Amino acid sequence: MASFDDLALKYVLSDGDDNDSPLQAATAIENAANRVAVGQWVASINRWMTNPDDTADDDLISRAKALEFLARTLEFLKRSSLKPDQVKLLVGFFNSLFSSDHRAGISASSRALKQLTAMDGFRPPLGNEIIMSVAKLGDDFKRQAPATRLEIYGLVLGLLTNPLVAEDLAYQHGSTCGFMTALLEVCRNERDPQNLMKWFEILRLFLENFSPAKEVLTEVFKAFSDYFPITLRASATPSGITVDDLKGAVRACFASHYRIAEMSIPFLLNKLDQGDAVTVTVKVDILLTLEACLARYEHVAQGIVPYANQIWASLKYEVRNGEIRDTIDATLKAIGTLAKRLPDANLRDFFLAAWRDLGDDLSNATYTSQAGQLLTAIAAASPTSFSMVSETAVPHITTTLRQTQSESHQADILALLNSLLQVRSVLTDVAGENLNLKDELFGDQLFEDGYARIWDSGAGPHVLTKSMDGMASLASQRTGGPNPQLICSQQVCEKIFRWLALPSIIYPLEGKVLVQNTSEEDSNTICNAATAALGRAVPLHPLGFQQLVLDFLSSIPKLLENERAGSMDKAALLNESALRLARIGCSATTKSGSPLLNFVVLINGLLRGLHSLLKERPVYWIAILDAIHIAVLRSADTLAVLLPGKELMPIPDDPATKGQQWITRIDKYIQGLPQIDSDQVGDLNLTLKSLNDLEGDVVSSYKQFQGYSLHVVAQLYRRFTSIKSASAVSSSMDASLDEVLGLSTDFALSSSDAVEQQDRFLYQLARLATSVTRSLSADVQQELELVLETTVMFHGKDGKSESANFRSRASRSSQADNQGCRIVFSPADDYRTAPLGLGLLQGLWPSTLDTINPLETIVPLCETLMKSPIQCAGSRRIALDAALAILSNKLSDKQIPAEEWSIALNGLGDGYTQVSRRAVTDSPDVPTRLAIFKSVLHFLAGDVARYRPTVAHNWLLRTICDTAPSEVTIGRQLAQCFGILVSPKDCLTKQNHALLKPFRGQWIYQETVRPYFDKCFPSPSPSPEQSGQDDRCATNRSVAVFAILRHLKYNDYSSDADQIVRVVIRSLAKFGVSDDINAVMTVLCQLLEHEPERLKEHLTALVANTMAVYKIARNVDSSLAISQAPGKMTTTRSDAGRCRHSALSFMRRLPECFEPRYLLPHRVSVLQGLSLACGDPVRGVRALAISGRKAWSNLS
Amino acid sequence: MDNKDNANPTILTASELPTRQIKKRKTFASDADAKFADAVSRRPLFLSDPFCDVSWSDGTESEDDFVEEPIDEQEIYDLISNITDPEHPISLGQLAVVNLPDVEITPPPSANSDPHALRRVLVKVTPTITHCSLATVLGLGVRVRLEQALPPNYRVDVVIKEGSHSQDDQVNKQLADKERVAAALENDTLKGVLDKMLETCA
Repeated sequence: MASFDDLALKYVLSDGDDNDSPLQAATAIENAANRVAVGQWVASINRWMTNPDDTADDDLISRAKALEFLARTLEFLKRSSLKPDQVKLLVGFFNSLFSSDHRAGISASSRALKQLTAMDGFRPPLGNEIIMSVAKLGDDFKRQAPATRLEIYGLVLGLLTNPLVAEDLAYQHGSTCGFMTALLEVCRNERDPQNLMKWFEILRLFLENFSPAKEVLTEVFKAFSDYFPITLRASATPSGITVDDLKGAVRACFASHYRIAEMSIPFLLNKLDQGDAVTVTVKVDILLTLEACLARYEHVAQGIVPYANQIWASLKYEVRNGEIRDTIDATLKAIGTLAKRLPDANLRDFFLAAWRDLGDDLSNATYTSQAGQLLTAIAAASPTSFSMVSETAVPHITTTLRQTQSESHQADILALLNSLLQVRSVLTDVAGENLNLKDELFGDQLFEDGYARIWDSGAGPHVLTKSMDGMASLASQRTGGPNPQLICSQQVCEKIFRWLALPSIIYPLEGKVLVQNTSEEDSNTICNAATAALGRAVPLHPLGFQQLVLDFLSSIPKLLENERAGSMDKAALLNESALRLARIGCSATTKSGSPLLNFVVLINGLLRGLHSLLKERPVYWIAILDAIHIAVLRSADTLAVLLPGKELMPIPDDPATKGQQWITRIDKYIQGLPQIDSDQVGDLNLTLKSLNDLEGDVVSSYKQFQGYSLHVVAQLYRRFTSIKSASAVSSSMDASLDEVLGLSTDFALSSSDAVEQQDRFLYQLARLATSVTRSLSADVQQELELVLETTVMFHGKDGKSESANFRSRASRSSQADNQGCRIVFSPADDYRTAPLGLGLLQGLWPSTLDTINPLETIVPLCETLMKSPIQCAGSRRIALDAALAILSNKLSDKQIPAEEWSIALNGLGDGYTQVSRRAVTDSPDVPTRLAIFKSVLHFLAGDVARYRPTVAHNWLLRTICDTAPSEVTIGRQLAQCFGILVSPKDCLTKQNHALLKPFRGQWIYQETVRPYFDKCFPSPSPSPEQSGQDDRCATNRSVAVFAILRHLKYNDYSSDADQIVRVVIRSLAKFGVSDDINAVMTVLCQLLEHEPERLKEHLTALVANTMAVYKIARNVDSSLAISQAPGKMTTTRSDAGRCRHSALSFMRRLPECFEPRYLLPHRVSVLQGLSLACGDPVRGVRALAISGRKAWSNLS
Repeated sequence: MDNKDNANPTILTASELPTRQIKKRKTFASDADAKFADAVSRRPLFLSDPFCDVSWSDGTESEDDFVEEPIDEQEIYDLISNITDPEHPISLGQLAVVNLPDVEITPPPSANSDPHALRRVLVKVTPTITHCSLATVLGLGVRVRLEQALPPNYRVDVVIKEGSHSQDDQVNKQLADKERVAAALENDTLKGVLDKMLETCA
């Protein structure tokens, strides 16, 4: 093994960090049998130590390196390797270097000593020796490199954090703390940020752990306070220390011990009082430092109490005359902390002193707001300070409120009162303590003296909103202590609710305003403020909310009586008011009773409102129904947030609350529910009472709410449908059914021109059903027989014998052959109930559909849709199409084997044959053919969303893709329909549990677009008679391609971008003005966004063709203005507008995507076109033209 | 420019400027409301399919954003009001250098008029002080902006409002002189000033 000498030499000669030699040396020392090894190890560097006074640089470097060898060896040495006397000797050796070798020895000595202090053999008295040696450095300390100083600071800090050393230092030096005085002498003038962090920590530790004499304290205080306020200059080599770190370190020194309070607090206040000389940042720093002192000084009587009045005297002006929010906030924080720390007796003195200023300020309109902030800060500190403040301030506030005439003064006073009420609410929520929160001050008297007076005085909007805010807080005040009770009397609370209901609910319906001659904006502000105030108050006042709902209901007739407004406007008003009720009642759960209380009361009330409007126009039904829907969603949302783990839906079932029990028996839990299908509007009082008694955790409440929602949907479905005799409806009815569902008599009574609105109502009702059913788990859906409900629509669950018969017959007939039930869409009333069936079907899980008989469901539906002439049209047909898409998507392979699937496909195939058949006398007319084709595509859309790549399965898709666009007469229209395959559909979303495969986009692209690129161009050498047809087919094919591509993601088709660009160029020239051009533009913009490089070669053609498209669209527009009939004109003109918009959007983006050299050749012609486009009839298009013109003219 | 003609002009706030009355739409008090309302009352997706003949009007939302509206005075005002003043970083609209009543289109715009007919736009500029040395630059800025933003059948005339400038005749003469305007645009310094003024125009 190499000797220590060799190792030392090797280390000294090495260039970088040599870990090996120190490690070997450490191992050798540990393994040595006797103590001589340590001596040899130290002696190994003798050759470099011979002449410490030598000033030659080489010697310095090698000596430093040699000493470093020792230090590094110590790093690797076990803590138990050295005996106490050896440690002492080594400490002595390294200490000596502090006085003898200031140039080479300091860094290594510090490192070595740091290791030695960690040795087991280290004795505490040595700590003192080390510190005193360090002190010997004198002025040479500041000449050391910052890194060396950092080592020394680390060494000292390590010693001070060692409790034994600290104890020894205190013992040896007593209160004079000579070691500290020595250190202060050496370390003053430190400027390096990293070193300062350590130095401040040393000072903080010293102040916290030692009891120095006053002179020493003064010295130490001076050492850190000289740096205050600390800043950091930007450096080329950032140290990683931020100015906030430094501020924090100095702040910790200030706040270290109450002994320095007599210096620190006057020092800080003095700095603060320098007035304008202090910048905002410094002021905030001072205030936060003061706050830290107040928060951390332990001995309050000595550290804080003596300065309380002095602090108040200085700080009050920062708020009273302050303008900067940061300073004001920091001041309020400091004052709050002060109030929190002061003991009760001193707090009283402090408050009385403060009140002398604040009381006067409150009476002075200029300073009320500031005084209010200070008072609130003191009040919020603790329950004691709150009761102290409120006892004095509240009577003064009410008096001032009575006396002042100024609106802004009133508003400021009310803001203070509101803040006090809010503080009180927060303090009351601290449960379990016996708090004295001056209950007597916050009761009816305050209402009468304060808010009632303001309300009656006819104040302006600003004061009114403040007053409404406060009234809601007042109504929510509860007594302090373990059993909180409402403070205000029932009468006052009722009055508050009555008043707040006026601007938020009643007046908007009655066409009145609370404050006459106010702008619409102010009226809205008042209305929103009242709504927000009510929202805060209702969780504690279910009775008040019930009254609000009743007020709403009683105002509806007055709304209808208003003859000046149209029915659409009145319906909008009704809807807005109902939505406000939903915002008030459904944003939070009630504090007592069932959490559902307000939700159920509101929805029951809305159902009652709907019932009362059934003789009116359907627009009102929609207004109420939409509000019910939003109330359901909002309530579910509010409950879901409270669920454990915040899991949304569905909730796993446990046997105790299995579906049927909590859903079908919801009326057992909650009494007095309305049954508007039986014309019973329910009893709100009974509902309220039963919900008050209904306790339960959030999870069971959530389930109860799901049950309740379904109960609502069921009665609405029953109300708006009725069982009709099949023969009376149509003779061509399915023979197996003698009764079918049609629309109820409510629809018959409506005027005929309202059919469109009625259909919309049915759609909205279906949407509500979807929202409710999709939140149920598959098991529950099955248990509730929701599949059967799509046919019977909850009839038979209402206890009526005729509907029970209908239900059992429907159920029996479907299950006669044990093949599962079937879904039947009733043909009665021209299929107008189809959307309702769709609404239920849409929210079902695929596994719920396992119970149906697929053939019995799909085949009749296909037959209905493939019939010519078409059986139903408009929205009803779209509903049936969507149902077909859902069935083809959600039915599992297991359930529908290949042969059955092919039966369904064959049916659709036959339908398609009708579409493609032409020139036959009995062929259907064009709209019928298109309708049939769209139904086929809907079926395929559901299927391709969860594609199965077998050839046999996809023959229909392939046939259609192959032939439909080539159809001679209606090929173009058929091609346009291809978008249906991939367009977004409500029924095919994850939310509605559709089966969507992740790579469906690519698959559809591969199947329906990619094989047909060649056909997008006419064949190169067609016969003359075929050329026109060939050209048309190619155009139709392109239409189909873009109808699909516009809905796909770019990544799905990016591999064929080059080919697509070629089709784009041809299509721009061929498509003419139509929506098809917009599809092309959508795809083109996608290309431009993702891979502009691909367009580079085709810019000439693209620019020319796009500008040509714009020109044609513009000309079409002006010719239409003269020739077309008004109704038709609107659609076509807006189509043309859209075309022009998409063309110019593309042109506008080109200069951003390409270097000017590619665009300059086209600049002149494009600018010419764009300048004409600046006169486009549509404003949005003009704006695009102007910005495009700017971008193109900037090219150079 | 250290020596400003008018160092302390009167400035209007954005809310005081004339704006186009936007069609009233349903407003919601919070995002949460909008979220729920969207889920409930938006137009169903399937109605966007081609050839869909089912209408879905609820009286609140405009189905068509491509309404045809002729260029009117407010539009001209919107084009020039956000030009930045050469002295202050404030728009000409805020300084009331351009005002809506001082914009005139002849013949007046109407929905049925021929879009290609020749029209004249007259803008009267009001300098902030009567001896403003930059009045010509202001007028030039307005003129350049309008020429860049209006179609070729619009003729632009910019004049100083009567009585608002001590030398309005001379300034008007300069602004009306096509050759002098063209020459001014060749001047790099002036071009730089104009570019800076027009930077803030959308």
